[in-house]
Amino acid sequence: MKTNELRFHIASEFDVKLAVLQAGKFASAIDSNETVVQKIMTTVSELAQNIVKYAGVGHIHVRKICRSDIVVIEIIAEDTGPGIRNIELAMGDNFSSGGTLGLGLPGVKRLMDEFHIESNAKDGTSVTAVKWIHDK
Amino acid sequence: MADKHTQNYQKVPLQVTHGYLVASIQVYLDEHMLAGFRDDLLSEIRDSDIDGVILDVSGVSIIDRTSFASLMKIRSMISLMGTRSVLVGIKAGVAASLIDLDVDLSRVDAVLQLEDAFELFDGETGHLETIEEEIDTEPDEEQVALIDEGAIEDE
Repeated sequence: MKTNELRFHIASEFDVKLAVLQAGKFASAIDSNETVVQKIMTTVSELAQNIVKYAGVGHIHVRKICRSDIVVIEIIAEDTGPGIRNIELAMGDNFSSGGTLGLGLPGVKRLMDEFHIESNAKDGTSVTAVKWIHDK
Repeated sequence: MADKHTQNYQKVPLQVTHGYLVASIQVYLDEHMLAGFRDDLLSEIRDSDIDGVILDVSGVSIIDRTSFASLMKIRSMISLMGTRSVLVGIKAGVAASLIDLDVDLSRVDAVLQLEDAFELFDGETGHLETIEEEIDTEPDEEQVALIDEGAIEDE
């Protein structure tokens, strides 16, 4: 498995902007489809802003992974913040639709092709979101 | 990075064309930039005699929930100052992302190109009349009930 990775320390809005723009460059070098690139940038923005807003500090990893059948871009957002008390609730649309309340996680799930979240009060939160890139 | 709070935000060019104020937003929308833009825009509206504001976002590659909410707030402020506004040139990927994010689009007015914005504003009165006519011709529940009764009588 071949990988190619970016890693960002996220602690301020300035860090969010840097991560979003760099992730955009990274993604457009892999996939020329503008919509795919913009969805990846939006995902990084939403996840990085959650880190700043709810955990204070954390990391974003963006990497290209060549699977046997497909190339994907994987975004991992992790922090050691307070964790999400009720993941089911956070993943429900009622909790987060409309405005900027909630974590916007259902939105991130729709933006991407794979979505996985782990969260507890002890370790914090880790969100993995994957976009399939079709032209290998 | 110590000066990041004092640095000037990237200015958005504001230009009056055909009596409308055109704001060409070509930069990344962060909180700092949007606050500076809002202040500049509202002073410009106060100081100039304009008939509408055109927010050209064709150069914006990403609008997330936060920046979308800020843009909508700016539109509400423009409206409170007594003028109208329209979004121009939202990119396909931005539109697709906003739908995935499930933001409230009920108050969004958008057109594809700058010319469309001028046309929309120029012909706004005529446009509204057309909509009212459409509403008038739609049968309401009572009318539908009457038609149904008539059908029964015919049998």
